[in-house]
Amino acid sequence: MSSLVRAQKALGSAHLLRRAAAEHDASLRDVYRRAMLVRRHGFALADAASLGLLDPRLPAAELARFTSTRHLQAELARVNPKELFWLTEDKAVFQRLGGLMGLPLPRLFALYHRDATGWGHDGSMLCTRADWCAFVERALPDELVVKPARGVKGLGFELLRRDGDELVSTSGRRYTAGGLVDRLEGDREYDSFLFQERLRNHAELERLTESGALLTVRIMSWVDRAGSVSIPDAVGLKVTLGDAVTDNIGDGDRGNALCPVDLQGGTLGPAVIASVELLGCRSFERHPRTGIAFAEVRLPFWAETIELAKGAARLLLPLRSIGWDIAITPTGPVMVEANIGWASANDIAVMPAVMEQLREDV
Amino acid sequence: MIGQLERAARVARTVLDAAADYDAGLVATGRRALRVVRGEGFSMEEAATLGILDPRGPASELGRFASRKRLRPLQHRLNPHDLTPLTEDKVLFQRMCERLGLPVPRLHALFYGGATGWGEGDVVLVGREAWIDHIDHVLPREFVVKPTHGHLGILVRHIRRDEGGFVDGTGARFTAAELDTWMRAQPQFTSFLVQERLYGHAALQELSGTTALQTIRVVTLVNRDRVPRVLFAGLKVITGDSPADNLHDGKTGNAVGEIDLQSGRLIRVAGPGPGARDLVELRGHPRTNVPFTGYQLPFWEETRELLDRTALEFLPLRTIGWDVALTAAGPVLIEGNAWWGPAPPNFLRTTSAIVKALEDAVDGRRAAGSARA
Repeated sequence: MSSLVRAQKALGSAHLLRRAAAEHDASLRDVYRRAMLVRRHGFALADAASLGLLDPRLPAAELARFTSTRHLQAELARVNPKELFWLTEDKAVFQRLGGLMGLPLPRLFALYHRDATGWGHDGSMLCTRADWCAFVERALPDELVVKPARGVKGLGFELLRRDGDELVSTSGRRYTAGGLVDRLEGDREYDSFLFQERLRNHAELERLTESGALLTVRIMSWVDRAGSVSIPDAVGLKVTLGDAVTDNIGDGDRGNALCPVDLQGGTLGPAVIASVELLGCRSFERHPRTGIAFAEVRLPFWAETIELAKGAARLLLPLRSIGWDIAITPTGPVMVEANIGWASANDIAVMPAVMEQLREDV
Repeated sequence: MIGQLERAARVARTVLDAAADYDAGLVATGRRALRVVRGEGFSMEEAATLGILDPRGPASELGRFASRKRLRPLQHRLNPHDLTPLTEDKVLFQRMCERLGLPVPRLHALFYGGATGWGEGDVVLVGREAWIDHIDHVLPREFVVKPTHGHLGILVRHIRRDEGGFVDGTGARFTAAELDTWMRAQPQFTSFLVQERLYGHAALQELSGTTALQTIRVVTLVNRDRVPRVLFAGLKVITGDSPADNLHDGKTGNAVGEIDLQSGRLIRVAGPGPGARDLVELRGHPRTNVPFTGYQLPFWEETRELLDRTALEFLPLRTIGWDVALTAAGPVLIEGNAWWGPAPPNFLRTTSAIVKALEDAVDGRRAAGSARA
């Protein structure tokens, strides 16, 4: 890390501590001491701030209720072979193998790879820009999703809708076929993309948010030594509260929240946003746009969704703990993503209990 | 530093030996080596085996060979890099082939040094004790252990049970605990597959007088019209006591036989000369004296059909080097290699045509791409 980056980081941390001191009505010294303590618990400063852990009045014993990303990732590395990383973290690889395993996945229309040959669902070999332009014009549906094969947190995601000869992104950008190819060719972050079916929410979920953005349930699976699959009690529905295009939580800065889901019945709890901006968590009993009480929502196809996660967990052994993103569509659950380095869900669950399960082998 | 000195000493030794062998000047041989290694991208060992260090050899002769350095950019243009785990991770390759119903060796177990392993029947293998027990009591009488991300046959062991313990292809004896320790101790590879041990078709065993598996290397290229084409087919022939058929740039002494694509008969066989220097053509097998020319490979038609199908299943990876075992039950896929090496075609001096085909495929892409819509 260059000294300039280090200096910027130090300034950012100092600013965050000052803000926390003001917000929590505490001295800078006490907040600094608390920051040192949470670091010893493995937390990054921003993660601790987003959970409200920088408040010095929060009893130190309370920290035991949370699990840092660092500690969680260390446990996951022990149960998930790192050599199988690309099986889940490259969406094109997961799509190919997951499809062969019979998992319900969004339909794949095309694979784009800068500087190499692409693939089209109609059997096309997409070798040139001209091939791609013709394919985009004739072989894609009126609505689709484009996302990077190795993207994270929804970065690089575009939802496109055909409008005459153009494709219009939800961000308002308009692309001709050639313009879309140029956009992918010139992408600075990613060099391969999937063109996928746009999935729709089940009507019950659409009614909840009225946003059109696809909501997914994050379900962790765990395979124990005996080969039995269980679902730890840390299941959450990612909910858009505003106009976000995706349901990604990010660092709590997307305007999306996480609702705990009752494992037995699939009933939602209050939505929670944990963000650095808020220096803690904010809870919503009702959806701010539709006014629907979260507690009154019971997820459709819930038993099928749990069964899908459990069945998929068996198929991907020896990966033993996977975070699945599952959309609940009008026709049933569809697997959107799998993650072997899933994030801590401190805002909706008692993560140490989840960690206990992961540590059973020690 | 010590490594660099050792390498420099090896290079100097190879140049000295080549100068003596070719009765050429040291300076001229050194210049030739510089051109071949720096300019063309060959390793010194590879260049020595191919016989291209002779300074009197015409420069045009070099065009009949290709180095990895020359192949790699072409492979990058034809094979999307992010999909190469489907071939380069042997576990993903195995799982994909199984799901597609393609013939692959049966998978017995997966060993991951830093994490949980897997045993047939979805057994979760955690820790050393579980592994020792599994090796001792569950693995079959014979099996193969190989790195999940290995190449050139490095660390591949053919193992069988013997007198209460185990013995590998080199005759080394060990216990289950020692095998577990060995897998955990490898610095280069941390994960291994445990697979069914396959045997070659009886005809191939008779050809070479060995039960060790001899595979064929077939390089395919799928053209723009989705038609697969075989660019090269060669039988890797074990000529000595090597337990495996790998060429390893000529270091193993094994040879390669060019296969006629239509008939599946051997056309000619070439291998490294004494001391892994220069290539020599072999008329018959040095051990069995079976004549090579006209030798008919078993299951050739089935092998072609299998590879035509498999090449399309792995699209958009367009060029793959397949290792196929011809067993008594038919062809079995052992490996796919998106970054296939040039050694087998180099042995037969047929690489220039292959490179041309790859360049045409890439140029076709460029040419059409430049005519912007």
